[in-house]
Amino acid sequence: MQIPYTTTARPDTGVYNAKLGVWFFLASEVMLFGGLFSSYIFLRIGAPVWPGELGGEMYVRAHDILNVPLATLNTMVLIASSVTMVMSWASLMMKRFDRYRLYMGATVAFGFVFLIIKAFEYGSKFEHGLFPSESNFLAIYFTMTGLHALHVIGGIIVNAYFLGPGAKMWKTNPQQFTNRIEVAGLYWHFVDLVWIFLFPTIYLL
Amino acid sequence: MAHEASGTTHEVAHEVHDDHHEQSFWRKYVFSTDHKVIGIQYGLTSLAFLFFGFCLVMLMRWQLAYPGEPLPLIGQLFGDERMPGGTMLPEFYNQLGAMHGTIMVFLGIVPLAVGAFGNYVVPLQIGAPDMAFPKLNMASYWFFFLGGVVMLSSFFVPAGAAKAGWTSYPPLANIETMGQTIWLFGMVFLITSSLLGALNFLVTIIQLRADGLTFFRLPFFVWVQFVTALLLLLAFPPLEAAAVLQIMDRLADTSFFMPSGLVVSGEPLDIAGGGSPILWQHLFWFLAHPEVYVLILPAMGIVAEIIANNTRKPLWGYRLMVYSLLFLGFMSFIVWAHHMFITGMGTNLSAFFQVTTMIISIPSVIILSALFISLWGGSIRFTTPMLFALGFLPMFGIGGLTGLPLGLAPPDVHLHDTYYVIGHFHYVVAPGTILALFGGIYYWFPKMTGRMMNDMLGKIHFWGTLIFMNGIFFPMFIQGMAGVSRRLYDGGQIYEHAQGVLWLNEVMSISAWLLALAQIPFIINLLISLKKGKEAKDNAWDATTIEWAAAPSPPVGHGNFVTLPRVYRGPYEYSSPEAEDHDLPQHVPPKQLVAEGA
Amino acid sequence: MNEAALTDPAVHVDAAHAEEIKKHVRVYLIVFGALAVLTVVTVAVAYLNLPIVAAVIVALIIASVKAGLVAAYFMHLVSEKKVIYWTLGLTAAFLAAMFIIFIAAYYDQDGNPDAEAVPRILDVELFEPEWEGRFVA
Ligand code: HEM
Ligand SMILES: [Cu+2]
Repeated sequence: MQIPYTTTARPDTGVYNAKLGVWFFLASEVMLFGGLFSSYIFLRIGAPVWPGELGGEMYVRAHDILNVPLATLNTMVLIASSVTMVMSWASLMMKRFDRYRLYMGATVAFGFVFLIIKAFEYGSKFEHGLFPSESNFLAIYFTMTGLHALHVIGGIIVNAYFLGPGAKMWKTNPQQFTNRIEVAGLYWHFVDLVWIFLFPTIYLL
Repeated sequence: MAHEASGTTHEVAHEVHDDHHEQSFWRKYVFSTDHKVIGIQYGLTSLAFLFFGFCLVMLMRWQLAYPGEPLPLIGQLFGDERMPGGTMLPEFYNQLGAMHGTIMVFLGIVPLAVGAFGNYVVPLQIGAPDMAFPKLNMASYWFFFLGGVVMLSSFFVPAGAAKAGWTSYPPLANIETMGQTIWLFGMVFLITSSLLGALNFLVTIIQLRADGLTFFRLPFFVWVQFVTALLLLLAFPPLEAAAVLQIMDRLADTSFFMPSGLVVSGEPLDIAGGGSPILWQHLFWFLAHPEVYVLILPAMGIVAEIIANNTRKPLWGYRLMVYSLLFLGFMSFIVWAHHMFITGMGTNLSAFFQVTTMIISIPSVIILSALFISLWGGSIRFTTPMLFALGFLPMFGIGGLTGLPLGLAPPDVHLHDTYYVIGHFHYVVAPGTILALFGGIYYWFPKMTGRMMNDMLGKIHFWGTLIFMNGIFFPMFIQGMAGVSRRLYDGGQIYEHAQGVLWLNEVMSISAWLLALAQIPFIINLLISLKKGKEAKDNAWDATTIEWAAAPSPPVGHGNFVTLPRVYRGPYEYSSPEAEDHDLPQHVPPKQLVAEGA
Repeated sequence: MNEAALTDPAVHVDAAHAEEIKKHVRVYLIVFGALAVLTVVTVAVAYLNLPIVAAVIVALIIASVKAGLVAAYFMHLVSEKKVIYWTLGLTAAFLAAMFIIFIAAYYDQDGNPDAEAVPRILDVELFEPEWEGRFVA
């Protein structure tokens, strides 16, 4: 028994199953982060001052508390990883498996770099006694970037799988393997996209 | 999985039992990826949860009918921290109430309506060999199962299960005991499960429809599952966000839902403050209103199938029903704050939500009316499933109509959080959805097992259920209008104004226990028919939809159909004037084609 | 690279197809450059300490452009199929409803001392001590 349209597109919809599936998944992720962003807006417009008081001092700009240079660097890292991700798919389209390995490896590496920088960032906050419980600003900051980081970890796991054991499929079913990389890429770009909104709204405003 | 799909459909049906040389018991029945097995797993698990949730409420009904009196026989078994000397503690009552609501909604009705019926029937009705993602389907079931286990385990942690209601409103939920944290983690599992399930249904329905099965040839049940899946997919994530925030509030001491200056038991709380309890309500009801449609839409779909089949004529206004359904699904995302009229909402916003609520009632009324009109002039077969479908119509009608006053702010100020509300939504989900689900079980049982259920027992089950359900829920309207609040440990004894209606508590409780007895014929019927039921034809009800007309009963183990069908027409071409009043199954080629092809 | 692929019998490449992908690759690199530049711009603007209204507007416009680039080119939304546009359109509608109603719900509530006040997120003079501790949801 074969399930239809696992690798080829259904003629009337023009997509294969997994692609439609991942878009539905991303739609639900949009609503997940949408719920968090709505909560952020709701709390922020209700707060007299944002970020507000922390450790006896009053702050009116987030970039006085958070480390913008590190976050900018992280933005660049994530954007770069998106490019390598899409390049790894393009390499497969050009049947260049060797280049695929290279680009996919870079994507995974960038993912790790992002997490390491994030860990430094969190670490220095904790050192200064800046915990989520201190204020709603910090609570939002840690919750939203934390959830985003979990998504990065998820993406790294998926990508690492396709770099390692999952890559065997290239030999047996290159078309389906290329599809899988496309789908994994859609997810990875989405994680990048969320960060593109998180970065200015949390760090810069 | 190759199987010997030769021979007649009857032979195939028996071969299904012989292919365990290919698959171990575990792969075949436990970690199966076959949508039929998963559907049955969902069905059995959710029936067990429904029964469990019902047991919880039967305990509560003892306390409501005879407040403070020790529960005879079994009361002692619950231990001193729950029912010392057999008398229920208020804390335990609250646990029972919160867990009853949670279990019935998230572990009972939805998994039965969507996980079981959706999973089993949708691929068959669209002529697909399985769901689009069988492994995700399995994962979805196991997340659901885990979520259930986590929820149940919360009864055994210190101070017991969650006590803040199924709505988990903060600040109360934030300062609750450990059970609430477990509730939140349980919800995260359940949400994950339903997200995986929902996207699987959507892709399956869009991608795996048989050749010729256009959207407007889909059985209404498939449409209903499609819209339900969309609601689950897009409405659940904000609740997941809310659950994450509440977990942070509870475990990391943040103040997302905690206002400044909160004082608990005389002690100011040591928190940052500045959060908003109303925020939780918005996030919660953003899910929970669409969720009520998730509870009712599959029931409407089942009833539509049964009615078309048993009136032997097409549904009246099929297209109109589909458009209404789509409109209803869309609107269900912008009515949520009608649950929040008394939270100090301003008049503009309240006007907006009253208007959208009145608007959304229109498509529901259209669907219900179309189903009523479909009965007109039919030569109705009063089979057991049909009785349940017919019972559904007025019961859902009562549930829906009593909702209108709740959607208008002025009466809602009076009725909010009274037993009137409890009566209203139970009419929708219990005599409404549950009757339809029972109907669905009687209707599709022959498909799943190849055997019929007993008609006599079915009818006894129907009448008992219908009567006692009304005995439980109708008095709730009376109590509610008299001002009896919900979530009361003593059923309203301390209220002067409630004295006149307190006697109804006993009526409702006795009805609830009798309702339990009325389920015995059903359980016996289910078990006995499995082995001893009359053998069913492949098309046990002479239906025109392809799950009956084109697949053996039970369907082929892997792949469902002997050969994948092609579809030529709409789903309910019963007694077609084009064919001398014969029924036209969806997959039979038109006469010319037969002549040419053969 | 194209030659290598063509001469290797195991890897069959449609030459025209490969050309097209190569064009895509050029676009990806341009998009990468644009994203990097926009990131620098948005950070620079933040340090200008513009009035908060302007800062919000500028930051959101830049973020939307960046997101649009990622979605359109990396996620191939410039040339997708109708089902996917439908899905995203529906999601966008519900997302918009959520944002709008949440914001409306904040401003339209009885008993909120600031219901009539200037929206604070849009207020230039953010730091006004008299507001301290006044707000309770
Ligand atoms: C058929 C037998 C049922 C009976 C006798 C029953 C009875 C009750 C009663 C008496 C309450 C109010 C408890 C209180 O306010 O203290 C209640 C609450 C509730 N019930 Fe049921 N119910 C039944 C079935 C269902 C079903 C099928 C659902 C499915 C959705 C359901 C969902 C709920 C919910 C959500 C609540 C609110 C819980 C809360 O206050 O947080 N019930 N039920
Ligand atoms: Cu509602």
